[in-house]
Amino acid sequence: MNGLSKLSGFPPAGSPSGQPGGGPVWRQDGWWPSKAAFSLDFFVGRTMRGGQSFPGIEGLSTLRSSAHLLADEHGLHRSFAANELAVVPGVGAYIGRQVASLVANGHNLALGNWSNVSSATALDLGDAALGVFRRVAVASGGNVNGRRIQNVSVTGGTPVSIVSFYETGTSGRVRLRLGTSSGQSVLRGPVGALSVLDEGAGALTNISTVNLGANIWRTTLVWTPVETGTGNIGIGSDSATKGETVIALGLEAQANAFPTPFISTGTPAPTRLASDVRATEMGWFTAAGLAEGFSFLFDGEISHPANGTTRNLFNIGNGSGDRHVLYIDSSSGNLLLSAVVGGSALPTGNRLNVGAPGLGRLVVAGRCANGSRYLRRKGAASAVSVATGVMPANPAMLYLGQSNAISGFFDDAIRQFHICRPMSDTELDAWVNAA
Amino acid sequence: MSTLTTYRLRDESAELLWERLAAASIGKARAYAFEAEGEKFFDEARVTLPRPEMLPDEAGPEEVLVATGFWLCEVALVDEEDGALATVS
Repeated sequence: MNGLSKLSGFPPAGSPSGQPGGGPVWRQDGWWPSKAAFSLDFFVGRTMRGGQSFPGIEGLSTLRSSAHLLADEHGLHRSFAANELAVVPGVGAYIGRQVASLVANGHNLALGNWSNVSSATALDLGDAALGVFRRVAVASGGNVNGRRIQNVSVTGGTPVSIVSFYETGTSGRVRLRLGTSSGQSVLRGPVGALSVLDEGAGALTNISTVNLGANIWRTTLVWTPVETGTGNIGIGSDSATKGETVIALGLEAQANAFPTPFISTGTPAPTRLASDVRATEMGWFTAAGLAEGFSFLFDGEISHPANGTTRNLFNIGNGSGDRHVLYIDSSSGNLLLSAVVGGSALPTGNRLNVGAPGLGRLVVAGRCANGSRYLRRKGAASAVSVATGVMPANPAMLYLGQSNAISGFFDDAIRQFHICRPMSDTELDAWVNAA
Repeated sequence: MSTLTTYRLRDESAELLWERLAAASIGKARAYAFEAEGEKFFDEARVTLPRPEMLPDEAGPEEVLVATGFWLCEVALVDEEDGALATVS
């Protein structure tokens, strides 16, 4: 069974079947969890709403007045139009904040926005890679610092994220150099084993290099410039032997404290706007009888550490009125389940807290019901509350990966999200442990 | 094929840009700039966050940019135009 077809015996269109003397009966006949009313499986690309399965993602609206790139686990990029959810099988849906690129045409280093320094030469190889990039051979002219650069405007103390894609060339090495008039910061070495040579232009942190298959690599890092002004970013073959190359695919600096999906495919330097993703049609919620309580199951990724901003996983309720919110707290980094009741957020002590999630997969499940709340994160102890649950009547909106103020974005990929009828602590634990 | 219409706003501060966008939002189902629980927000899905205007330094090398003292932001609308924005941009 592939889970994409309507299943016999399942109540259609969200109308639970009934039994004399009992509540509605739901069966786990499909790919969705038992008791689910609305299931979004971004990792595979399918939706269940009211007991009916749909291929693709249904029931969400996305507003974003710019295009969006998103890569699969092999680095192959897909382009999503304005107002289209960025979702890639095997990765999930990326719901993130607004981020500006500081360079133009970062996807094509053959274009005139880029120039050669320290005797380097660049040869447009004329073909594409990873769905979006142009392959450009950057060759040494005999100077180890030879590279292809573009100027960027930076502010001292404000982090800039560097996102680079390249192929192994004849040098077998690569040099990423970030410079300002105060000095240079250099990450260089054999491809796949880079190390920091210099941090004269500012600290290099959160360095990550991933092999995307064959000879293709992605290196990301965070550069915190010392100085305010015009600097530059560049890539070269890290070789003093004339003619030795690295194949540059893409390079950009993002005005952000952590790397996000690649942005720069145009002139002037573009900004990718935030993705406002929400379910505005909530008939499935009341049809499933969730007015007295519901459970949720969330499966996503944490690719960057806490950075002082709130990261919302979901927010369900009545806009700025009563609502339930699952979020990573900006100051503590802890994952909290809170609620706003009568216009006031629950006191800190009444928010369910399952500690700070680390990097990697984040699996969390919980229950919001009158008088009974529960939260469980994989790898952490559960948090239970029985005194402070209040349900907003007929919630008008489900915000996914953001707050109700179009802010506090999750800034990472969500693999699955399910809203279910209230599940027991044991059921929630079982789902979390099995994920 | 969607049509993107962009309005650029320029003012002496980010706060003034927020006020102009909040004024242009009156009566609209979705605001360009709004307040929620005492905080001021821009609609980040349609409005680029205000940034200082930077231009080449006339007295120095062309690649050196200097702040003009003004702030910029843009509103991008998909398959939509807004006369109120055209007035304030």
